[in-house]
Amino acid sequence: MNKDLKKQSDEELLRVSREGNVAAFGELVRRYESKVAATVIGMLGKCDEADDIGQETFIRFYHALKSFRGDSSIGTYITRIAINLSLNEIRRRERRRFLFKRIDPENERDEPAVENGAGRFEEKEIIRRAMETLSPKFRSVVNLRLAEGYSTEETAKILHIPVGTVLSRLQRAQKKLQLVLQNYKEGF
Amino acid sequence: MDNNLYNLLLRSFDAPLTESEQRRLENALTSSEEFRTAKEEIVALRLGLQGLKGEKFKPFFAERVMERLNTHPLSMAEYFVSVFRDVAIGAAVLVIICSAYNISRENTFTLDSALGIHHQTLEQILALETPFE
Repeated sequence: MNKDLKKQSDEELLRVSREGNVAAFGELVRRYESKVAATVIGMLGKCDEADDIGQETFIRFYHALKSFRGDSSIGTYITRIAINLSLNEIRRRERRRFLFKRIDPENERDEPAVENGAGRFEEKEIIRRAMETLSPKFRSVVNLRLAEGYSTEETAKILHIPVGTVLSRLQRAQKKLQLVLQNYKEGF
Repeated sequence: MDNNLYNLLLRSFDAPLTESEQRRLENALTSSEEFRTAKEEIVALRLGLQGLKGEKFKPFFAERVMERLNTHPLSMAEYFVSVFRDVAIGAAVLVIICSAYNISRENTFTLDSALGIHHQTLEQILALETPFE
């Protein structure tokens, strides 16, 4: 049965899932797991919440199966859900940070970057930290276009913004990232 | 460095340039060492960002999703959203039309007029009762 599911196209799996075949939906989850992981971890960093948001993304998709008309590809549709849930999570984090800052201003200090065994700051981690300095709307554009490799048009479609906005956000985000990375390099 | 040229350089990675823009960019890259370094830095940044790809969830992610689907059916709020989503926009439009009709009939823009609530005076109520006497 599972072997058969692996051979089926996305459209076929979608059709069977709509009929209530949970195993077919499980196969869709397996197919799109890495795509959702790239989006959510790119937005939130590697953390427990990322796993939860990833699960929630597929649960939302499952409940939306009947209303999904296929105007966009499954990948684009799921990525859109993942981005929206990640943005909600970032807003929740910001609210929490704001509250804690008010309660305990000592908590404002920045976390140090992660060092690997050799005492060098891992480049990937530094880039991730630099990404976290971007506001959510810039982070989502950079994540989709530059980290995940969606085209400019696809990025615009996923985020429901004009292509011109994607381009201007990319410009500003890259300038900021370069500045932040330069500061890291000079600081360490 | 010329800010417009630098923006053009950034844009060249994500969107097609016109012929004249392309020429301006090539000229700048040929003539300016600083500009070439800037391009290398952008390429390095973009490569670094590409390196973030390939992140994975913890093992057995799909199994956790399926378990959640099987053990946690829709919450009451989610159920109502899923049931009424299709009619929500139509209902909202209907409410707006009714409110607009009520307001136009009353000729006053208040919440009561929008809801079609009439405040009767005691005399009006008594007058209504007269035919039954």
